[in-house]
Amino acid sequence: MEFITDNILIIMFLPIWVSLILILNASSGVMESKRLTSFLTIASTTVGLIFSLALMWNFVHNSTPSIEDNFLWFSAGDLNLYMGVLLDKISALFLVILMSVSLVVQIYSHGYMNKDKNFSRYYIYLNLFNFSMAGLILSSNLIQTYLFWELVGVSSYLLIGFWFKKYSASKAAKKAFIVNRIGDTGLLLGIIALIYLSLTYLNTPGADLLAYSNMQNISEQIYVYAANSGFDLICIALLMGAIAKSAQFPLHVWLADAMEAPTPISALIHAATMVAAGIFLIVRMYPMFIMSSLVMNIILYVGLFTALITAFFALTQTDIKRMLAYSTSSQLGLMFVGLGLLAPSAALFHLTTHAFYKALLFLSAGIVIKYLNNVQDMRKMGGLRKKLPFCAICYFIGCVALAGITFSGYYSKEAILSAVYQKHNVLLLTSFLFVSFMSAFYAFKSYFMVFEGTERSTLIHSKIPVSMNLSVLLLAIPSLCLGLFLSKDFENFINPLGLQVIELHNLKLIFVSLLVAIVASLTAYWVVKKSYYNDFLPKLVYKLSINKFYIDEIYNWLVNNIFLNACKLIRIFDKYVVDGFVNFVALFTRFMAWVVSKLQNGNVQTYLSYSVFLIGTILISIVGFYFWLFKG
Amino acid sequence: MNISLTHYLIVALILFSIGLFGVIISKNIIRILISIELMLNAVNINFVAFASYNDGLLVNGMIFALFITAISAAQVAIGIAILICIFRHKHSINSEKIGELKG
Repeated sequence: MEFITDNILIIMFLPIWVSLILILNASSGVMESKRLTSFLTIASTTVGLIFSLALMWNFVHNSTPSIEDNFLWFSAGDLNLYMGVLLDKISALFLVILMSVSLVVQIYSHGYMNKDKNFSRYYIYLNLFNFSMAGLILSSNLIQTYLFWELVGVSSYLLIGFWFKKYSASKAAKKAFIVNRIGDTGLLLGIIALIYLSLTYLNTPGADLLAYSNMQNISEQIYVYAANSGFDLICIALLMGAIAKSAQFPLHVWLADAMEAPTPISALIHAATMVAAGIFLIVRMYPMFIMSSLVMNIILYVGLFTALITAFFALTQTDIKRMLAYSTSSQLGLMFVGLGLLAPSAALFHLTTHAFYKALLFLSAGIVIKYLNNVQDMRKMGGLRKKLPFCAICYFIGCVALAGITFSGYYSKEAILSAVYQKHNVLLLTSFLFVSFMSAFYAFKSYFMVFEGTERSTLIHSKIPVSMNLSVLLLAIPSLCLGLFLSKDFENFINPLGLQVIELHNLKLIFVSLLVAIVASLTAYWVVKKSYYNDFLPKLVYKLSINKFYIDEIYNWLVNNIFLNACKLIRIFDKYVVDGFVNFVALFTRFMAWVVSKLQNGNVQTYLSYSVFLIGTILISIVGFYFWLFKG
Repeated sequence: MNISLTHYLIVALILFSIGLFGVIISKNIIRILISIELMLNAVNINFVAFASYNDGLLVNGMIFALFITAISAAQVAIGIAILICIFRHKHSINSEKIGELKG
């Protein structure tokens, strides 16, 4: 085990080495080989998976709480910034999720992207993503997390815009990047404010002010001084980053557009791993957030609201990938609810199961899309169960898990439901049940639309490679049984801060939630059977849902009418005040130079007269001074 | 009226000033050369006057005056040679028209 923990950085550096090799390989152009590319990538991820599983094994069987190894990155005055690795149960869990989903997606991509001209560029980006995500998970302090946070954003940008010749794809990539930048700015401001407060109030020279392992201690001390002056604000600023990355309410707009990425990317980055980085950050900062009840409430209600609205948007989506994207946002909202209700272990449990079943759903959808040659509109699909029986079963498993009826989704949803129930808040509970009703409804609606009924179009079908079916099978297994396997011990095993685990085995509650899900799926069956695809909602509600509450339009209006005008004002200030001052100095110098240059007319006699005048003046003043000094 | 050193010096000063004035204001290069000769002669008067009033036995001042006369002849020769070149080149000896080196 020493070997694993000492060399854990191999998880991080192997992908970047592989991607460098692939860049050399691709740019030399001589020996570019798809087999070599995918072999190297899959091999590096397999090594990573073995290492992370071994790390997990280590934490399961030894009682060591965490291993930390830091070195001084740089110091400026009293400020010391460190780099290092922090290995604990949380990072082990995230590493296992990252590496397993990555591995499956890379196998799948070999089939899915095989015909693409930029095959090796795709794998280079995948490796870059693995590197940055592993770095984010392993990082031991906030500033290091921030660095990799940005790298993750870049690789997400590159992969969303992978087909950059498509205008919508490049636009979506830009949107995702810019929306994430808003959150990142908040995160950076929070980090700076935290550093400032710690340097001002705490007298601990040389200490690692941003270390996660030290966070409880530092935030308790800061709270004493800054409880009234901005402690909440710092927490909110830090939370902004998490909200943007995890596609929560004010900043959720990028995730649906990010579906321009190739489908395996949607499964890996925009369903299972990268969007979980927000949850990861909150869990890491939990010791700080927990001190501010305002922030906990923000997490709770932002999550709840996002879960509600995005599930509502998903109801009317006809694009299968966009529907799954809204579903992801909604499930992440439920994780936020769990975090806000002081049940981080329930949230992490839901994150684990969700990563697998949502990746399964995406990859099955990818098979359908590939089979129908890039058709994503569910209205054009139908009756595919006979053509793709295996895929249909896998998608069904995913839907059942998403609806929380049984399989792995049931256990994790129940964990969050227990936390919600324990709060004894009727509004909270009904909203939660409503979200789970809607999730079950859209999940089964998509299943029935795609796989049941009669074929609605005569599209050309293409063959599905074995690797794609194999990887879907690899994901179906954890989606089936991971929840059962983990449900007993997970919440006691991973328990940040040692909070009390909420365990309510309330049979009535379970019955109600199951009933809601089953009723929703039966409704979905009825809606599809009667072909009420869009008529099942009243017209006004339908319009709200299909236009996503007009949030994109509102943002556009705000940017065009308020933000850009403010920018223009600032531009005027910049142009006429800041630039004006600089230009004035330059103009004044030019004017003086013009005056002086008039003296030089190129005539030797003029120069001579200047010198005569000057020397004469000097002589006369010397003589005058002499008389004034001695004779006067 | 007794002529003292001061009178010689004043004459030399007037002569020098006239020369300087001529150098500065004249447009004709020949006049400039003549004015330079005037200035040199004013200096010569100074040398000779100092030499004869201070110590009659030392002839340093006189010899200097002779040197200056020889050098001024050489200088006028060179100056007129340059002047002829300029005249051939520009068909003018107006000093204001010679400004090729102006930056």
